[in-house]
Amino acid sequence: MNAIAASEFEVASHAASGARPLLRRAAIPAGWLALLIVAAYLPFGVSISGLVNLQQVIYIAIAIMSLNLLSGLAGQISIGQSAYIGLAAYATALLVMKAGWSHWAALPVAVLLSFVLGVLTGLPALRITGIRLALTTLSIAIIFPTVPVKFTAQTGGTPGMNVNPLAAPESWGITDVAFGYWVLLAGLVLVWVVVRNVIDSRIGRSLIAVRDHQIAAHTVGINVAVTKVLVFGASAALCGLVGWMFVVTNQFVSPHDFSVLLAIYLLVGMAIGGSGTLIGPIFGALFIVYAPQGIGEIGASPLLTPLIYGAALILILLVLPQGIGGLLAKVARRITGPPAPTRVRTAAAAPDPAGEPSSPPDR
Amino acid sequence: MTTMLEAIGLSAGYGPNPVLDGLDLRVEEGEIVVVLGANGAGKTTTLRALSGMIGGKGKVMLAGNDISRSRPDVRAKLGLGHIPEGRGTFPFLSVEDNLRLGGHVVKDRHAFDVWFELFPILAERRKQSAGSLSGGEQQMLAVARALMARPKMLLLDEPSMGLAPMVTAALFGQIEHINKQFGTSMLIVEQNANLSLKIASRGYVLESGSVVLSGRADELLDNDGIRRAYLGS
Amino acid sequence: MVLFIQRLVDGLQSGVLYGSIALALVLVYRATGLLNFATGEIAMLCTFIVWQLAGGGLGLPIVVGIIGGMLFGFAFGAGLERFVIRPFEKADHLRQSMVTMGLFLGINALAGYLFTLDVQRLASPFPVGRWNIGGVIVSYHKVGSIIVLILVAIALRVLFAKTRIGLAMTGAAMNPTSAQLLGVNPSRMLVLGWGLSAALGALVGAMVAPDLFLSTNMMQTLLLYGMAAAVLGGMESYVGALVGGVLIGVIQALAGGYVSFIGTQLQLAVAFAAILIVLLVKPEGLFGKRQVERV
Repeated sequence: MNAIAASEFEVASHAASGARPLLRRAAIPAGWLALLIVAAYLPFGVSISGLVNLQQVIYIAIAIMSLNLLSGLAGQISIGQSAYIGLAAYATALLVMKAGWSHWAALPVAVLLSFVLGVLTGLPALRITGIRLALTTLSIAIIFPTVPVKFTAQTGGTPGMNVNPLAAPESWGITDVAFGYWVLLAGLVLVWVVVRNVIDSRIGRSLIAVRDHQIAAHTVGINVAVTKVLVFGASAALCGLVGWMFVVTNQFVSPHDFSVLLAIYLLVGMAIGGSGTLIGPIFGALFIVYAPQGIGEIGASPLLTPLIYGAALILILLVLPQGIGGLLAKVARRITGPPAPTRVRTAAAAPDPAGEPSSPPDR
Repeated sequence: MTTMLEAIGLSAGYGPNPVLDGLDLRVEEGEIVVVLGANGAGKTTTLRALSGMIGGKGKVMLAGNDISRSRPDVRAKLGLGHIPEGRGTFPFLSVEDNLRLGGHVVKDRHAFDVWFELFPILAERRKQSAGSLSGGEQQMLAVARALMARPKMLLLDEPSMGLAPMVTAALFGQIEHINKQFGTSMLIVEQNANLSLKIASRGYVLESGSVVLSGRADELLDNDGIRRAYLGS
Repeated sequence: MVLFIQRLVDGLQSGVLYGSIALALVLVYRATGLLNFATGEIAMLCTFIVWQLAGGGLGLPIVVGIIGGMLFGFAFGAGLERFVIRPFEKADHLRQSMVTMGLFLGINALAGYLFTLDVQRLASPFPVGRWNIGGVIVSYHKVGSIIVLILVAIALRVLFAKTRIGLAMTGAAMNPTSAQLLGVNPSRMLVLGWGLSAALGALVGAMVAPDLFLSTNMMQTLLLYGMAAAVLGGMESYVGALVGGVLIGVIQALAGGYVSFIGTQLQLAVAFAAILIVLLVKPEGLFGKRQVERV
């Protein structure tokens, strides 16, 4: 929530740029490419349930990114992400199953619906911030699961409804699950590139400006109100994509899937990954998907799983205050050296209002 | 005369660079001592280190007891009062509640009549919230609140800050009166050298965290360097 | 008319429960600016202790059990502050709140492991029976719990307004540095605040359980209502928390009862929609002081 996090954001997103030796500059994209190839090859080496887990990692990572967009960049906290995800998931499910649309046709509609809900719930941000704002977003999260129950006839109510899988093109000769995994992986890469460019753009800079210095941002011609509401919209739109991915992965929706617990897990994932980095959400998502399984495997009573989960969360918060992403950014900085001076931008240069006083107090 | 407060080789600061560098300073019982210095000389830091708000190296003695390692609340219980920079009143509490809180460490936390006599305006405003008082009234409240604990030793951080000259003069009169009547030893950090030296018996001049000059108040008032630097003549 | 009063009374009772959880939240929030997500789970754990002392285990009188549960709660809350929250003293509120989410998960699991996942019954400290006043049915338990919780709220108010320790807690919450210079130990005040909050939670749990049931998930919905009540009341006001709780309880009961579209499924939604509206019109809450940003 401070400039330190923001500057690490830069390190993470710009590890590949700046005035560094050509070899290093080439090595990092090559590393990413190799990672991507390995990831794309996974359907041929991993079981179906393993692939489903990976799909979960992907959409949870994007959901955490959406939180990061709000918290890490705009300084806002939301406990409402589960509602945006749920809205898109139900929209997709209903359009596919009741209206006979294809998954692909439902995608833009789902994203748009979430965007609109995000803008609407972002409106209070014009007047309130902090914990009160967090609780208005909490209201959305609490209200949402009651809606499908109210319209049980259409949505299947509490037990939920099944949705047809996203069919792989027959000529490809692969399973639907493998195809779904590829689609999600492509989505993740796309989101990654877009978010990274947004941070680098004029919009990204005005986000950081709004977070750090609202009044100052105003005076340099940034429309604070529009920016704030748009961030909410964009964050919710990402959640819309997540909702669609949820349906593709699980082929099922129920109100229980989108309870406030989901939103809380996402916050936990953000804390573990570290807010303000791009890579962090993936680690947060890995933790959320695999930690319960890992805990089960070490032989603890399944009843105690959440206890160990909670203790692990508290320990990580204690030992790694900037999350795993923050740790990696630090390591990356060690290896590649500090970002080149030409790359120093508003976020790093701006005085930090929340942290240590930038000038010593009057003596 | 016994020594009420003594700092021996006090070093303190924020982060890696110390602001105070081996400061020595002494206040005798019943004495008013003034610390002068430009902005950034380390005046506020000195008071903070003395009351334990920031940690530091060196020794702090209060009436013969070593309090160097004590927490601020323990030092307060031992009789060290500190009116911090910006007064530190509780804006949402009433004047009376502020005073009661000032008496937290003593048995009789309702004995504020004596201070109401000294500051009648506070008596008039006793039910009002502290936040609604003027700057001068807030400073009076801060002084009265610190006195509720009947401190042996009182640290005052720029009591004149933000006050009109008339109000400042009256306040210094009251401070002097308190010192005479209750024998409270005082260490006052001030920009207003003229007024403060007139009620003080001794003074220190601080520069970059060390004492560069010390002496009797009347000597300092006559010192040419002091006159040029702090008295504007 | 009879139905209206019946709904009003029912709403009042749940409202007082929401308000009491809100009080427990405000106790910690005022002192630290921290929203304690584990408030409900701490209350649930304490209620299981009450059950162990009175119902299932030792068979002590229920009143003794409740007092024992509150004492346990005080010690447990104080211990949590000292040993779990204290290391995060310097962290921002988001991270501190995450820690309480960790506590939420941990305590919930611990209670299930130590006691039982099955739903249990807990006796009421009030006699079994009900008044029938012109058709409006009010159980002794309902009236008793309303009175007890309101008395506790008043006692808390007196504690903070009149007593030495209460004033010190208030001062330490407003300006810890300044309070410490006056001889108040702010860390001790935090321990005390958490202890009181947990003891209050234990009492609320013991009042809720006889009406509903005793289970590891009993407090979760209540916590959400409590948060809403606290925000509605302005986050820093004890009276506000209680009034906020009652408002939510009554709105919920009346809206659910009279607007057939809302029914039981959307009651929750209506309560939270009301909060959204209040916050948009009056962001500082009904009883809040002008908002001072803390996150």
